[in-house]
Amino acid sequence: MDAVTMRQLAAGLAIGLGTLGPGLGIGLLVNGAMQAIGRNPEAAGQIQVNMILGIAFAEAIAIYALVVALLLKFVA
Amino acid sequence: MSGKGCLIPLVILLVVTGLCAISSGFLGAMGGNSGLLHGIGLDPILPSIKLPAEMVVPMGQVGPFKVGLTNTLIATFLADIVLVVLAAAATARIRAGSPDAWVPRGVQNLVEWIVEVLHGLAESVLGKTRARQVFWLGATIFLFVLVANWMELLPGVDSIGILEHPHEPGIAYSRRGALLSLPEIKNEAPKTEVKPTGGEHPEDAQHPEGEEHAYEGWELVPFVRAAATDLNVPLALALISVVMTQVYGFRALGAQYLGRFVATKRLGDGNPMGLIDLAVGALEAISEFAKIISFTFRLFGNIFAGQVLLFVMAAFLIPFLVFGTLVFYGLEVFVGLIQAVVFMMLTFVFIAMATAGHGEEHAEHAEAH
Repeated sequence: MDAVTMRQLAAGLAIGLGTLGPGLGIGLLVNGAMQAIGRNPEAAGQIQVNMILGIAFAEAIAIYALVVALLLKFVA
Repeated sequence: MSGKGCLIPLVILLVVTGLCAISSGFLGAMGGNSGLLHGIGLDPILPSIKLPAEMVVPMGQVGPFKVGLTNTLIATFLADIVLVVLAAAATARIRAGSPDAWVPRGVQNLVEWIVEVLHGLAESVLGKTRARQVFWLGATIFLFVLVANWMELLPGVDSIGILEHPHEPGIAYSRRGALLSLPEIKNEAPKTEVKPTGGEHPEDAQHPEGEEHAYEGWELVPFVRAAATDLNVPLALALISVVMTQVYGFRALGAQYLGRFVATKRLGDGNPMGLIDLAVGALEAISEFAKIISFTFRLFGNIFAGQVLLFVMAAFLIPFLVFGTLVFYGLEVFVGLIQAVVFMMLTFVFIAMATAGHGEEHAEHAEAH
C-alpha cells in the first residue's frame, strides 16, 4: 500500500474506531437518564440538562478522533 | 390567534421547504450523469471540502497589513448583523418609551422568552447572584453560535459564490454557464498553462507570488460558509470563555484562586503530601488548556461534520431518495441548537466550578491526615 492509500485508510479507521467508545458511553448515559426520567418524571428538566452536559463530555472524545482523522486527511 | 396569524408562518414554512427541496433534493433526483436535468446543467455535484476558509477577496496590501476577506468572516458579520437587527427590533418599543412596552408583543415577546429561558438555565447552574453577573457572556455565546450555525442551512450558503480554477490537485467540475456541472475532472499534475480566459475572475491574475498553479476544471468558492467551519471562530469563542472563567474565578476568590494551580499551602506547612498538591495543581492548569481544545473542536467538529454530511447526502444519496436531505437538515437544525446550548452551559458550569471556594475541601483533607 502506498502512503496516500494508507492515509485514507488511517483516517477512516481513526474516526470509525474512535467513535466506538463515545457511542457506547452516550448510549449508557442516555439509558441512565431515561430510566431516571421514567422513575421521576418531575425531575425530567434537570436530568435532561445534566444528560446533555454528560453527552457533551463523552462526545469530546469522539471529537478528538475526528480531529485526528481530519489531520490525516487534510494536513499530514 | 387569528387565522391570518397562523397562515403567514405556514406559508413561510412551505416556501422554505420548497426551496430546500429544489436546491438539493428534487433536482438532484432528476440529475445524475444521465438524468433529466443534466440537459440543462443542474447536476448533484459534491462541493469541494476544504479545511481552511476560502478567500473571497484575496489578500491585498492595506497599509502595513496584508488583509483579505474569507467567506467565514462574511458569515460572522452576517450573524452579527442578524443579532443586532433582532435586538434593535425587540427593544424598539422600549427605547421609544411606549407606555405599554411592558406587555411584550411580536419580536419583543420572542426575544424576552429566549432570554428568560437562558436566564433560567443560568440560574439553575450558577445561583441567583452569580447568574446576574455572567449571564451576558453565556447568552451572547449562545445567540451568536445559534445564529451562525443555523445560517449554514439557508439555501444559497455554500452554493453561491465565485467560480475559480482549483489551486490544489483533486476533483474539479466542468462549467456550464454560471453552474458547475458534470462530468468531473480529476487533477493530479498541475496544468502548465496558467492564463485563464475571460475577465470574470481577476483573482487568478492577482495571486501575489505567481507560483500558484492553475488546474483543470472549476470549483466553487462560496461567498458565505458557516462561521464555525473555520477553526478560528470556535477558537476565539473558546478563548473568550476560558479567559473570562479565569477572570471571574480570580474576582470571586482572589489569591485563593491562583492557589488552585500552584498549591504550595501544605508544602509550606512542611507536609510531604504537599507534593501531591503541587502535581494536582499542575493538572488543574493543564485541564484549563484542555478546555480550550475541547471547546474549540467540539463546535468546529460538529458543524464541519454537519456541513460535509449535507454535501455528501445532497450529492450522492439524493439521486435515490428525493427528500432525503430534508431529514439531515432537521438533524443539523438540532445539532446547531445543541452545540449552542452546550457551549453556553459548559461556560456556566466552568464558571460555577471556578468561583466555588475550595476551602472547605482542604479543611476536610487536613483533618484526615
